[in-house]
Amino acid sequence: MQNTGTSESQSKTSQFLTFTIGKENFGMDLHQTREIIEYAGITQVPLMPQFLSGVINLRGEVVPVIDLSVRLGREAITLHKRTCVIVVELHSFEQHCVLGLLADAVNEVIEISAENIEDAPAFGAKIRAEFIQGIAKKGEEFIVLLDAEKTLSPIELAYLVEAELQ
Amino acid sequence: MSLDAALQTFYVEAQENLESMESVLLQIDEGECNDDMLNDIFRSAHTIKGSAGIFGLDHIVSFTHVVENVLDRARDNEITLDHDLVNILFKCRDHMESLVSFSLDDFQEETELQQTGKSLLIALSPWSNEDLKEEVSTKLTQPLTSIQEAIDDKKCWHISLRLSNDCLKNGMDPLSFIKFLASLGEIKHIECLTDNFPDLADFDPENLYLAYEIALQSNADLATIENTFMFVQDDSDIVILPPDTKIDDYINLIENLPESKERLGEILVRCGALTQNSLEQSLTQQNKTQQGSEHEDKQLLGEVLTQQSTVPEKVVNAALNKQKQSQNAASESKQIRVDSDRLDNLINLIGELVINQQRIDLLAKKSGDPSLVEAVDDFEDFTEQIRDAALSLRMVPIGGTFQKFKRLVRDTAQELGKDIELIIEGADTELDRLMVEKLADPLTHIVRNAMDHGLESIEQRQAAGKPTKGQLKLAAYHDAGHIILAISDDGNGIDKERVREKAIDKGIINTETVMTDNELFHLIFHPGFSTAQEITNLSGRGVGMDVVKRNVEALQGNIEISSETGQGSTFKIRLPLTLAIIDGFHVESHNTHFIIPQATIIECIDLDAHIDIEGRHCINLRGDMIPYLNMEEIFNLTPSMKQETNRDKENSKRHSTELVIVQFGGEMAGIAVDKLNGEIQTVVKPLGPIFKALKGIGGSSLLGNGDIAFILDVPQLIELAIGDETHLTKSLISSNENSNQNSPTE
Amino acid sequence: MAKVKITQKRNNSTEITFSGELTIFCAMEIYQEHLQTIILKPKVIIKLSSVSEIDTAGIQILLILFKEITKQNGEYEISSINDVVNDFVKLFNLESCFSPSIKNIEPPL
Repeated sequence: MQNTGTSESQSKTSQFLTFTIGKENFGMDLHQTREIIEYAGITQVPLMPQFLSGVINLRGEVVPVIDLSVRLGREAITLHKRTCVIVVELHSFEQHCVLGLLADAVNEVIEISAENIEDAPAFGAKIRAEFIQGIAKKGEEFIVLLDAEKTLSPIELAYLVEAELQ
Repeated sequence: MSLDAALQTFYVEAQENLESMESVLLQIDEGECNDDMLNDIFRSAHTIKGSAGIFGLDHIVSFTHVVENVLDRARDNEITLDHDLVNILFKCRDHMESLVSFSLDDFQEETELQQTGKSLLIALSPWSNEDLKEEVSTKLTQPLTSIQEAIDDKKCWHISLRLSNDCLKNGMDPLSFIKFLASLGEIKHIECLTDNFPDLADFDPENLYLAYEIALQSNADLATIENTFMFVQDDSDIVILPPDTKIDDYINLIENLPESKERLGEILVRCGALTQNSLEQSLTQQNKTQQGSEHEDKQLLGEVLTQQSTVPEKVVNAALNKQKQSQNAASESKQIRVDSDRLDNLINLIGELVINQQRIDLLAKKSGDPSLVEAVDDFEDFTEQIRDAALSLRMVPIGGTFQKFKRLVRDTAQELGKDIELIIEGADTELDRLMVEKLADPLTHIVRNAMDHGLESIEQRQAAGKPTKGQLKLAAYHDAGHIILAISDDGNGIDKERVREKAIDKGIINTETVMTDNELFHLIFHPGFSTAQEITNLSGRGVGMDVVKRNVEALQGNIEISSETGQGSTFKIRLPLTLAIIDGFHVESHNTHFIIPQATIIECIDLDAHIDIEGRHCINLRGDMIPYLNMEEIFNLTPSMKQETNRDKENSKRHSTELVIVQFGGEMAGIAVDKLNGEIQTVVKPLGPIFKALKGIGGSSLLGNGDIAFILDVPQLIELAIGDETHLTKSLISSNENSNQNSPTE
Repeated sequence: MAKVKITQKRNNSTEITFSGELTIFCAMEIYQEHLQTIILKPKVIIKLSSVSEIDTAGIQILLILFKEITKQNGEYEISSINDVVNDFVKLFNLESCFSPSIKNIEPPL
């Protein structure tokens, strides 16, 4: 019999795109991120809550852009020359869902093995627990890994919009 | 065609045949009956039976066979389709529909379904043939205990298969055919011929090189065996020789097959079709008689065989291809099936074309080159035509959906003991195919509601002096870029008191709440609401109407109710005609771009003098008071960063000087904006589920320069502008009596 | 997918082991990568017990292989087979091509 098995001796590693908002470092599963583009203006949608910055034209697709900072309970992001938009694609919902996130800077893609990812701390986290997939330790730094599907759940976002409009 | 795809086609075609049967039965039920209809319905049943046979769906074959027999007798005028028989046939058709959804294996588990089938067959027996039972037992190919004897007859067929080389590439594996044939009986012998195999170097692994000679012992009929190969018969040579075929015919077969005679002869002997002796005898004989004769082709083989009086007439047809071709020609119609994904893709591409065309338009205008501008204008014309043509492909007439209600109304009326007639108007009205599917449920619910609660019983109607036959009308028509579906009845109308009581009961409103009739009617859309005194199993479960409303709103539509006590009610569903590409009018307010669907625009005027009545902006349009909305106010449009200077604040006073008068559903309102930018074709880009709650905006669009514009939802805006109608009308009357006031724009 | 392992043995025989799917989807790959330029020693041992799925295209692969071996005046032996392949062989009455050595019937993987 032929030996074709791959070595599964190493533990699983995952890749994350890391980015900075304000002074904090975040990461998101690379599979969920589609691309990164420069911020080149945005069209505001009337009457929307603060976390919904507006919509952009992404090669013919109208994509909503979220101010992740506001979504996570902080101050709105300050736009500057190097602001970028991380385009995220969510798969776990009925409809194909593409969203953009505003970020101050996009850093590297890191590869972390499962054992180097800790659970979100039970207290003290300034972010809702369900948004956090885990905390990665890279050298001296801690990177908050966000669960895109939960943080950007269109169902919840729609609900927040509805609440704002009433 | 792969077996899975073939099975899919079977289901679709069976469904069509079942619908056709229902349609004819309804007509017969209403009193019409002619030969064509009887033939139609027979053929539908016959086709379903035949196709089911290919896939070994014996539960369908055996049941349908009896139904077919009855219908055959009917078209031969041996029996008549009276009311009782028609009722039973309706039930049989329904049963067939249930059967079609089960595979043979799954069917074995369905004892209830089997019971239903048996009782229906018993119910049919007064009309079916005496010797029906025997025929059934010999036609059935799945061994039941009573037909063991039949199996012992050596009914051996010989099947010669030279399938097309591309068979495997097309997803058809001879394995499936052989397995299927095996299910029809027993494969006594099979030979795989490898004569066609090339050398290893020339071998194409995706080509089919194998040929087959098969001896099949089966009691199936020729049609069933033939139908096995229905989906591969193009480019294939398939010869089926039934039991009792004469030796000469086998010799002819050998003559016509590509492989060598001796080899074929041997194969046939091994298959048991011939004995060694008869083979040798016949070959020599054949050689003698055929000297000088032409080479026979397959067609001739068929003729030769049928000419021999010893061969039963209806049995052999070696020109399988030819027969199938003629069958197909008969059923050919001017329609083709199109994969819906491909159609959607086409529409998307055209959307992109439209956007692109606008970019070119902008650039051409910038260039100022007159011939370029003209060429681009022509281009725009053609783009519009292509767009309309493509969109029209997605349009289907609503008639099909309406027709389905005939059966529902008939059965429900019978169940309720009421006499109800269904009238259909505007069946030709077309709407987007996607919507048709989504409307089926809401329409069903409203119809059932009307029949259950709206229309009265025969006695009640007589007592009220109405004709005993209640009328239920389904009407469809177009209005300003929308399609309207109206369901109306001449029953006793919505009982306002009961609705009110129930709403108070459910805590939806309290006893002091003052509501207009319209608001009251709309209470029935509130979740958990039901006005039925008892909850019938038709409607009134309290889960219906709110789902109806939601489904309609999901299609960007809305529902209106009007009702008069004692006279009847009408439910009107309004839906946008298409969700893909529309003719739009580009406007701006505070640097925000909007698109107004052209179909809704009546005119554009300058806005100077306006009046405020009860907090609403109004304008006097040639004597009529028309309310309008200021986009800046409605959408809270903040001035852009640039406009912070005093001079800009001055300029801001001049904002909102243009008024676009729009209409929808007989109502008019105005939309006040800063700038009018002209007509453009608009590709509708939905904003997505996050923005669902945003009223007044129904999607977005990309302008020629890449900017995003918001498409205004005119019906919603008009509703907002008008608000409470009677309230406004009252104020208008009083304001008209005073002199008009002028006030500067804000 | 399919896996084909060809070993040229020191006793002047070729051993071919087929495993995985032997179907239309892999046929081209199997042919182009392994069979088109195969070197066949006078004796060929064919192992089929690891074939998980087989269809007509797969059988044709085997049949062309048998034909080639015979054309080169060699001989072949099916040293192991399983139910998956055997069922197919029986259905199509191809035992004569696959015999004499139908031994070691192992369950399909």
